[in-house]
Amino acid sequence: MTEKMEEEVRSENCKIGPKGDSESSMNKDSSHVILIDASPKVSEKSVSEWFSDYCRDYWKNESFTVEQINVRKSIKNADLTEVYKRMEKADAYVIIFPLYFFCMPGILTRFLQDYVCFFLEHSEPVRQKKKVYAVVNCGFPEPENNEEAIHVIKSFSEKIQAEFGFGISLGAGPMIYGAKDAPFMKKVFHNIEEALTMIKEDILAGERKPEQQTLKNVYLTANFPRKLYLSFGSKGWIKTAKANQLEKGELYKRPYSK
Amino acid sequence: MKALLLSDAEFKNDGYNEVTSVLYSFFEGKNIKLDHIETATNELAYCTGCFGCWIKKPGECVMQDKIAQINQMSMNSDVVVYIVPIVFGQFSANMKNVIDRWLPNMLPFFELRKDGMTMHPPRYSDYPSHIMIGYAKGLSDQDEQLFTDINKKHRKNVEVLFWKDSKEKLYKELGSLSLSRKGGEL
Repeated sequence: MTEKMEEEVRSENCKIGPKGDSESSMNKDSSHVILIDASPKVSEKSVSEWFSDYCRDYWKNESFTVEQINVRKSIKNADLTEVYKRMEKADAYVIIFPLYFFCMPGILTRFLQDYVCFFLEHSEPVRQKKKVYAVVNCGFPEPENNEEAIHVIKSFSEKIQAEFGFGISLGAGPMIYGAKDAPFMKKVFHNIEEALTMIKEDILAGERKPEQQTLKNVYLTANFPRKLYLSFGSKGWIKTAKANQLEKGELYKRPYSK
Repeated sequence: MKALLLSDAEFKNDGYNEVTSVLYSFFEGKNIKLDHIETATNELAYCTGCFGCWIKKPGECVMQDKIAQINQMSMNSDVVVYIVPIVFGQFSANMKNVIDRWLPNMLPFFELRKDGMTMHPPRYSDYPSHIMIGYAKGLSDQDEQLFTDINKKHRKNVEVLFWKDSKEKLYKELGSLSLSRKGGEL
């Protein structure tokens, strides 16, 4: 973001305040990592929430502390300024979200857009350089669909002068979560744990030197025949609709036809 | 013919005013009826991924707010122009709510495309042309490319333009685009 754009965002669009009184320069013995679960789902456990819990459990014995933030609950219930102040104190964020139209969902966009305003408004003499990682999941089996959404988090990182690490991209996200205990998922979970270890090591290594290689995104999907996955998916919609007293034909309604 | 402009009331700067004035003049010159809906902060709910628009009330969002009017007018237009503040290389928060809640207009099922990627099939036989006009002060080449990829890499029938401080350039680019409804893949 250029100075001009920063000025514009600050003057026209910032609704988060007030300025000052950050405690982020406090002394800390260990790194602090915030897991940001940004699923907008209300009534069921989401893939993102499950993944946030998975990270928390996987890193429970590490030398850094882990905190979880749920974006939907934060926006609904909390004083966002307080949430953003907590984020300012962290050393790293892992932003976990579902793919919506090939980028972030609206709710996460609002949360991060306003966080950038808070960041720009906050008078902070010395900022610690944070690290940011993305975990994106989609219902499509091809994890490559998440590539642009990972780039969006990289772009966000640049706006807050943070260092982007890399992204974990999950295709067939609902199946990875739903069938997590199935034998055919073992390899995927081995790869997920390898990726989480990479994040851990990168956090503990501190600021990356210019000569160090950029970390590559990790693309994972369920080890399951794609045609069968797509067929199960379609049948699932019909089954769910029937539970709502809808016949298959009614799923094709065109309410806005002329 | 009918055109619909959709824009974000949160980012009304000089660029926004210039783009809007070009569009008003462009469509007036073509004698195309134009409607314009601005979306302000907190005016549209976030899509919660409930899929009610697929399996409870197919084709319509189950949340009651301005989205019903937007989708009704959008689906009955020949061309829809989204005036998009670019934030992190994607849509601003208000515009992202408009985009996310377009979901009722496609079907829940999957179709495998020639490029090897999966997508949802269309609900309707044809759709308005979609034109995205991105604007932001100091837009980086990287964010510009990202905005193009988000819109064009995975979807057909979406054109992407950028406001580059030139009314003439935007006018010319708009003139080169098809403004009629299109069928086929989304």
